[in-house]
Amino acid sequence: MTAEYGVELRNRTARITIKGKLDTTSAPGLSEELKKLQGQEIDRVVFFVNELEYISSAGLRVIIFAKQKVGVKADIYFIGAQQAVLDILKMTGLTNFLICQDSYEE
Amino acid sequence: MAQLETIATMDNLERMIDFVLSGSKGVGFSRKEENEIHLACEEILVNIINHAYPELSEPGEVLIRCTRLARKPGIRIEFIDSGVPFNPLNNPDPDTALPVEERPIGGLGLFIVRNVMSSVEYRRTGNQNRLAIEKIAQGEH
Repeated sequence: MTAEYGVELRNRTARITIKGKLDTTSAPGLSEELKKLQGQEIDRVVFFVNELEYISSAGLRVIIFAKQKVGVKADIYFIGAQQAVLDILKMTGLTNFLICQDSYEE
Repeated sequence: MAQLETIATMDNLERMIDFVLSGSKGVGFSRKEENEIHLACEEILVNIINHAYPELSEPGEVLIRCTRLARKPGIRIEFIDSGVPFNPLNNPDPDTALPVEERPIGGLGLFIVRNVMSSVEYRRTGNQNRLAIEKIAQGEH
């Protein structure tokens, strides 16, 4: 397994922590976890990614999926992203709908 | 020149990426550039694994060649498969300005490859797809 992740839903906020590499090998597992959130009332999806070192297009698809299928009306936060990850988000236009911040307060 | 010939399966993906990354050591790439090479390789290899050999019951082979560039610090990586013809340069760029609700879920991988590499060339020779990517090292800034 190239990534570790945790998913938690509390007070209409989905908190997702990802560490390591979100790539072709690890992304489908996270996608399965996020599918379990479908149909819930969610205002915010918050990705905690300060220990995410690498993201490929398979990982980006999970982020797009989170917006399209889990939190259609939710704000999507990306917290603490490393420069390498931010570069890819910018290149592919995902920063247009992600709220990227260094830290997160409830 | 170093080369690796192997079966194009997900089980071999990490080994193939590691092969390219070890060939990129000592060239003068920054960590960011190494990361970009890693990305390009993952996207290209996953494409070959998933799409090159749809008609075969057994997975086909892929040959990877890494060569240092002579003229500048940098690397050329060639991916050769005998699968169905596929020119990744013909894939249109995704519209990255579309609202997320309308963004198609695919098409980002090859877009990333074209963006992070200095050059991408495709040739169909006989029954082979030959995709060569090059990256010039800028090093740390």
